[in-house]
Amino acid sequence: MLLSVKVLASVYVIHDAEESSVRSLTFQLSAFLPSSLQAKPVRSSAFYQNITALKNDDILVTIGRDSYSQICSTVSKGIVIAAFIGQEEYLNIQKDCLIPSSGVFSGAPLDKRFALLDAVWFDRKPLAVLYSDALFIDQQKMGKEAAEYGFELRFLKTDTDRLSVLKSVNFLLEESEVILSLVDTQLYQDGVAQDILKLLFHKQRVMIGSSFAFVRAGSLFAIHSDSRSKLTALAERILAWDDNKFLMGADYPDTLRVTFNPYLIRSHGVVLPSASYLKDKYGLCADTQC
Amino acid sequence: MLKQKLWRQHFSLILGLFVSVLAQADMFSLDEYDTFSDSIPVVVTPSKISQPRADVSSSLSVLDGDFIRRINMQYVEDLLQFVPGFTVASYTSSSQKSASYHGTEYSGYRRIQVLVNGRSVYSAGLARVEWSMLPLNIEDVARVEVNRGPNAASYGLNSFFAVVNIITRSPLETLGNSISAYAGTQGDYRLYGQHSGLNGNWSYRASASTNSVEGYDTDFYGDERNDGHRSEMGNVFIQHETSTSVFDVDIGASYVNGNVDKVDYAFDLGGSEYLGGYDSANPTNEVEREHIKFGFAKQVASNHELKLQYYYDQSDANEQHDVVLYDFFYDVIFGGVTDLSTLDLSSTDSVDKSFVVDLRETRHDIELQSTLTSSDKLRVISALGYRYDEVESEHYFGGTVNDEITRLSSNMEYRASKNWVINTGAMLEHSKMAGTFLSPKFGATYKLSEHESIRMNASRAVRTPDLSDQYFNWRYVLTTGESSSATYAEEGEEEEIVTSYEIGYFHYWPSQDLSFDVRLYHDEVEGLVLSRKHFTGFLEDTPVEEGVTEDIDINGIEVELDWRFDSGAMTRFTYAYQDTHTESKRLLETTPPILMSFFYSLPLNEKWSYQGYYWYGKELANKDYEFFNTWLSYQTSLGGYSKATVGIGLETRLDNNSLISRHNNYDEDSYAYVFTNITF
Repeated sequence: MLLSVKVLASVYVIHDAEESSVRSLTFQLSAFLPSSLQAKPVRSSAFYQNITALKNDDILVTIGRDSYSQICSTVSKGIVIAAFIGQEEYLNIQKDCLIPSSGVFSGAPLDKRFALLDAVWFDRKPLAVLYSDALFIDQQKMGKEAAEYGFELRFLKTDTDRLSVLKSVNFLLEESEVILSLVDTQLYQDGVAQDILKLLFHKQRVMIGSSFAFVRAGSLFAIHSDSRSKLTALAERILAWDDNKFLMGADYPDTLRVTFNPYLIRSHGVVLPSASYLKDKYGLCADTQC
Repeated sequence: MLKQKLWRQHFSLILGLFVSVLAQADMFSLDEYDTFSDSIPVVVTPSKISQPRADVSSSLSVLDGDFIRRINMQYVEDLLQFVPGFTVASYTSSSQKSASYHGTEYSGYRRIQVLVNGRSVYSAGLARVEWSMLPLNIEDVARVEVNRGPNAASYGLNSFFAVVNIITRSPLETLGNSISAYAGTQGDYRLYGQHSGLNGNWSYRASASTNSVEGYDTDFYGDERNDGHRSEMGNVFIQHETSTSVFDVDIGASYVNGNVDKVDYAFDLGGSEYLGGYDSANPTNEVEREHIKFGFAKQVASNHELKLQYYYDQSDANEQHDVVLYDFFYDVIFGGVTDLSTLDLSSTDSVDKSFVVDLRETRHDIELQSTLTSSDKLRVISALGYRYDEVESEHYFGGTVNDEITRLSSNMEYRASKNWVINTGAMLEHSKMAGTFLSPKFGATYKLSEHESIRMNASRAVRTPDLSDQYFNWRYVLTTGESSSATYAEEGEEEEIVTSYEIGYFHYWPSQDLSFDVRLYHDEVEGLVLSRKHFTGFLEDTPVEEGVTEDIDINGIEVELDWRFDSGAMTRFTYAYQDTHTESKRLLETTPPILMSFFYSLPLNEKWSYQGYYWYGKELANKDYEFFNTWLSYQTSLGGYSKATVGIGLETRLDNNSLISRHNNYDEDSYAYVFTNITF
């Protein structure tokens, strides 16, 4: 595929995911780009076989943490824009990245999450933050942000095997009622998220999710971005580089939505803010209204 | 037009694929369990349906895991002291502890239903809960929900004054290992250990404990009591969970070796009482109890769950007595002598004999339950069950007796409007021994907010006569095979019926994590059985006392307050006032008019915490009873997920009274204790 590289900058979508899904994603992304700048999906293994053809102007879009990590550690030309990655995952890799990088984060900024939690959850026992060593965690900064909303955070780094993760959750929940999840691919793999949510179900505790899937699986709520917002932010960065060689900083998409789990809302007697209040006060689009 | 249609199809395809991408890339492996979180129960006891507290129409006390871990109790039944209206005490021996609600009996209390993970542990034969013989460790308990008031509509016969629902922790909650130890200067000690692990969707816990309780020190005359007991118990709990099903196996076994005070065998002859013999050695009561339970719950549709449960429970008790019997007594009881004039009642010639009080109780129970969410407004839970109880005892029944019970129930929660929730249902049960009974309930809750409600509830429950009421054939059978005459049930007893009316108010302040509940109730009890079941068949077969009943009314108020502070402090206060209208002095004696408890837990810093509780019972057997327990604990991390807690405490009696019986006395008013727990 790289043999077809022309003089113009190319956009490669590098992934290890299911082929058809990424093709679809790439197709959607291309719709946001001019015809001269079409995105091409490339499986990681194929990409490395043809890495010598890469040019300095080329744009590498990585899907997920692992692709971003590999590109950062092996490629010395072009720029990389990470997508489907958490902020803390990105920061952990970005500091050692060999090429300029940007990203579009999954999940939502902490201040927005704390603000909404402050409005719907009145218990002020410490919030538990469980994470793997794949995240860059600035405990002081995060703790300060939480304190602005009257929350305290308890951090625990864990090994990612099931037993260690579940033991960690039990350990954390001795003093906490709520787990604040971060986007952490390494932690939530191989059904571990399901295990954690099962355990929370037994303990009658809740998790604040980091994506819609978490809510569907049993988290109280999650602030997240939809596909359109993510692609818009991604295209914005690609175009800025292509037009002006300006690399925009990594950030969350402009538009965020919030999804609540109706069963948990009812069980815990949470009073939901109205859609208009969510929009005006937090800049969030209520899922049912988006 | 065709182009437009093709575009729509194309767009749908893209959208579908795109969602798939998101699921893969952003959500990783989370998208396989949509129905996983269909319900997070807040409480499950009142209607067997998970409901927020504010929606419930019955009065409910919840002792959650946090409270249970902090209260530092060694035995599950002791937790009930912190439920309004409950008394927990040993009457005749330490292994015969009774947890009673509304009083009416000192020992062998048979007017509450107790379930462990949905398994009724109400014994088949003598219709009581043998707490010390339950293969159940408090460390394994996740929470205890107590429905104060009748709830036979959900839990069937004998859910008379209250239902105690004990729910154990999932093995996922106890992964790893833990060891606990307790020892007190009164001589009690306890050791507990558990290991939990997981493999795929399977998780398991194996736990065991050994326990020793010294019991009371002296009787009314200052003689040493012999009522302590030792026990060993073990549990294995295995669970298999998927996104739509849960399968569990619960296996438990216990062995109790209880001391029993010596007895003098006296009998009445022509208005005079004669000593006919006595226990020559300290009697012992050995009990082996085992159970196995299988449960399978399957989400057959997003709004429909089916649950099948079967359990088998057996208890084998043998109380060994070595006796010295005076010749005249032996001749009358076992020799068939009927001409009393030939007896030399002043003779001290005797024979050495022995006998066993044997009691083997077994129960099979199977139930199919359906929970259907018909709409956002209506949930219906229906169950069909069958139970087979069998008791084998030469001593109490002269053989084997049994009963079969079939039951059909349906309960529903209907949200009539934003504010009104209706909780109603009924159970129809047929006992082969006692007949057919209908137990209905109707409750309505008016929600002032999501956290505040007023409730009204009316319910009716039946306590059916138990196997001993109906089939008593009580005799003494010596190990040589000789048998005495019998005291037997002639007509049996009629059922007891309670009709209860209550109103209550519940308020939870989430910003303070403070809950408050108050309940006013009026119970009308018909036919409360007061017959004394004494052995009287010394000379010939005689009927046991039967048909002595009393109708009573009970009015009362109960208050419960639970406060969890952000600082980590916790406090819980309960108060119960009961006004019992009856002519029976005996009933009044068993019914304390005021019961009160107060618990507090104060973290002093990250490692040290200070806890204590106070308990007061007014006029329990005509005497006030109060005690205070306080302890200091230290918790430290051992690295990783390991931690250790050690503590020292003191319990002291604040009254100078014997407990319930004048023979229940401790030498010391206070005792100290130490405890530790290590999790790794």
